[in-house]
Amino acid sequence: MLLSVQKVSKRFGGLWALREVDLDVDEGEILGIIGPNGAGKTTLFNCITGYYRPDSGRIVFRSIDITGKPPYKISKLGIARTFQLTKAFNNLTVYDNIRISALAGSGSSSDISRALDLSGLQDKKDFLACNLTLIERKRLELARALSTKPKLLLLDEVMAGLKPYEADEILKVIRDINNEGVTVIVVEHVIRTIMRLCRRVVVLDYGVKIAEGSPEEVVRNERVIKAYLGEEFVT
Amino acid sequence: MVVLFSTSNLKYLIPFLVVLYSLPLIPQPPYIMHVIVVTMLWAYLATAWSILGCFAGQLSLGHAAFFGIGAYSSYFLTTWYNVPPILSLVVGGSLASAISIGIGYPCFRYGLRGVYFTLATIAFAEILKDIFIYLRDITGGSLGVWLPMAQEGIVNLYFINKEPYYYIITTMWLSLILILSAARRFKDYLIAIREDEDVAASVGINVTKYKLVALLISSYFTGLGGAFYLYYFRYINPYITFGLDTSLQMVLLSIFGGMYSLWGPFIGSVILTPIGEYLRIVLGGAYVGSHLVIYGVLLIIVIRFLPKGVVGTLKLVYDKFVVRAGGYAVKRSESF
Amino acid sequence: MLLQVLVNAILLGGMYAIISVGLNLIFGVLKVINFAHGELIMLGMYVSYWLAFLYGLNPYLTLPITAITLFVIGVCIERVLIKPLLNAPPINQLLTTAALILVIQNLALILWRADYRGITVRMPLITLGPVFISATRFIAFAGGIAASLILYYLLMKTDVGIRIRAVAQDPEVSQLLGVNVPRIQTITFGLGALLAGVSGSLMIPIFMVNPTVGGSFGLIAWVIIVLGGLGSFTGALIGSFVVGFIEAFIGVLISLEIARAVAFLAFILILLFKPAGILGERARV
Repeated sequence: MLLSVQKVSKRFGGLWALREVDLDVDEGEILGIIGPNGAGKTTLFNCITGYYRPDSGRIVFRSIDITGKPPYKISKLGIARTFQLTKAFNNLTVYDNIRISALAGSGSSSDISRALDLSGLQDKKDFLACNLTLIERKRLELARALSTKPKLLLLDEVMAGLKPYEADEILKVIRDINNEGVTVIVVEHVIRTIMRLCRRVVVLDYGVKIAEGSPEEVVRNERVIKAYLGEEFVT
Repeated sequence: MVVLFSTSNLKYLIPFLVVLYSLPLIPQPPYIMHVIVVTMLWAYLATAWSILGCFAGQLSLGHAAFFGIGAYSSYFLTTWYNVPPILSLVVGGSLASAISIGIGYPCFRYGLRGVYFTLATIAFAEILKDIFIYLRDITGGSLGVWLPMAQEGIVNLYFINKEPYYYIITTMWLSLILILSAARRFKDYLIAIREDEDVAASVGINVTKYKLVALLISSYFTGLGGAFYLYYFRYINPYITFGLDTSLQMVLLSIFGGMYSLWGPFIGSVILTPIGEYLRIVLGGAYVGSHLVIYGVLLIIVIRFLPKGVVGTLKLVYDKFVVRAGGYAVKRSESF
Repeated sequence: MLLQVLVNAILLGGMYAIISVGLNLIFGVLKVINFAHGELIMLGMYVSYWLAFLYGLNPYLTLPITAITLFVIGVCIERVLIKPLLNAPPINQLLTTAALILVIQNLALILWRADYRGITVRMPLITLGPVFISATRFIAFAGGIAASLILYYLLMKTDVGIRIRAVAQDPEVSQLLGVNVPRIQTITFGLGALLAGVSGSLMIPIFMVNPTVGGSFGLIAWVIIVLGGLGSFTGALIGSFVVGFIEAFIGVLISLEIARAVAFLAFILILLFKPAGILGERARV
């Protein structure tokens, strides 16, 4: 078991963003996390990657307790992430973005070219990050994450804003990354992506895990339907 | 011409150095030499500031604090403990560096960013200014302190002529430039932090640590500059040393010259300082402060219309018209 | 003795109220970091001074003239400098207004020299038991409170005031609802400048003016509104009295400079630890 989230809770003022969430991730799998807006998905990511400190609970990665560790340490331990609103080193070229990302890790030029190849940005490597299109920025996020040679990759709504054919391209990149041996957790709203990408799905609602299983099972789950569509749609 | 701005080109650097170091050999009246010394001093200070401000992107408007600590501690060491000035210089810089942790650690550890960090640095410099005015028995208060004359020589950092001062400050500036050109990995980390702290953290960069290191280095060199100011001008007071004007000048020269260039602060000073000194000397009495009006107006104009400064704008022009790779096709990182 | 300090503290708080309330208005509505507010106060003091010096007019009587002059200056500054900055990164706003300080301060220096100037208004010294209250300070205090109340009334009950509050809450939605947002922004900045001018008028009988006094006022004003919670009207009032008390008590116990240093230290500590009031954003991300 690669990552184990144990009874993690996080509150902001009076609001519980996460409430005793349990989650296990096996090595090599692609896990999906879905849930309505405000369910706590990004909060969970932020807790795992060290941007937030959980109020209670534990997070164990490769037998190391990473609860509350700062983001840079978690990156060095092998967890990479993308951001919901794509972020990059805007005034630097694609190549420099990836080069500097690799720097804190291994920094070899072979890692950089692998990241470029896998993400499909070889042709754009000398372009400034701020001049890229949306899908190119998402590719850059993936390339950047890859260059740190992670064992686990967290993707936060990476499909947001993409047209269906663009989403398919990113899907392919994610699959390639997974085939390289990187475990992936995907937070998504687009059910189609989840169905095609993940063998296992976890559903959050109001900070609580309400379902877990294969995509087909989860989609038919009463609690899930109720959370997304409301009581009336539960047959 | 653009290649001059990339320090990797030695064959352009050598002639530049020759010119730089032989400048004093041309006989000139003392006030011209004075302007040149002051220009180099501000180039040096602005470059020191830019380590934190341009590389790491943390805009401090309180760097006068470190300037002042360097100046005053050198004063005390020299006049009270008879420490040779050349040594006091270094100790002054180290003290400035040490004290910078006082503002740097809380700010960086608690994630004070952007404007709020800038406001905190302004307050920090003001606190020091107020303390130094208060301790009038020790520091001379608002009236300031004078350095007595001493034996001429490098140990005492006292020279009758201005030329030796020029060589010292130019060497200080040059060493700073060379050190910064060489520290490539460190610069990369700082640039990453400048561009996006969250992303930098997510790829394994210890943001707090590197910001702190940048501050320590920046404040050390700024402190050295303050000490040099003391030994050159022989007079300091809390307003000159800790004042917002001083901090603003370091920032102005860097932004005007070019925020994304190692040479930006130097270019900024070479253009602006002589103008300022000329205005001050020529228009002096009746129009004292007019150079500051010009500086202020220029800063406003640059921020509004030429955010990349002189060097940046020249690069833009070069990209657009010479290389024809401007606009969306820009193929060069804003790096140092 | 203690009572005297207490009275001074209260009087000082009232005087600071009018400064900070104006700055708070500008920040709350335009969301702009205006560093040059102190210079506007300084200009207000000079306008009153020159009217008194050249024409022998009592500053309390010329207050409306000063107010209107500063309003006009404020409108000009807003149109020329501030408008383009509204959507710029805050650091640009800070640097531009800091540069504005340089410009205004040194123009004043060129025009009016560095001499400290003041005017004396013949006023009785009020005694309340063991306590002396200088009438000029009392008028400044009362003026500060009165101005705050008038502003409050303006914001709550008048048409313009409601529009100002709407723009403060959400400029985009206000625009959709038919509010002329750019005009309201200009008016608000003018209003803030007007308040600065009024405070200048009230203070020239008490403090001397010279081109550099703006700096202290400007910084203290920022300390006050951050202490009280940026954007909050009552916060600015509370902050004024907190700083007034710090300055009065520590000023007497130790020294005025240390009082300022303490205020700035409190400022840094608030920035670091008290997240509230900065438009819902926290000072740290």
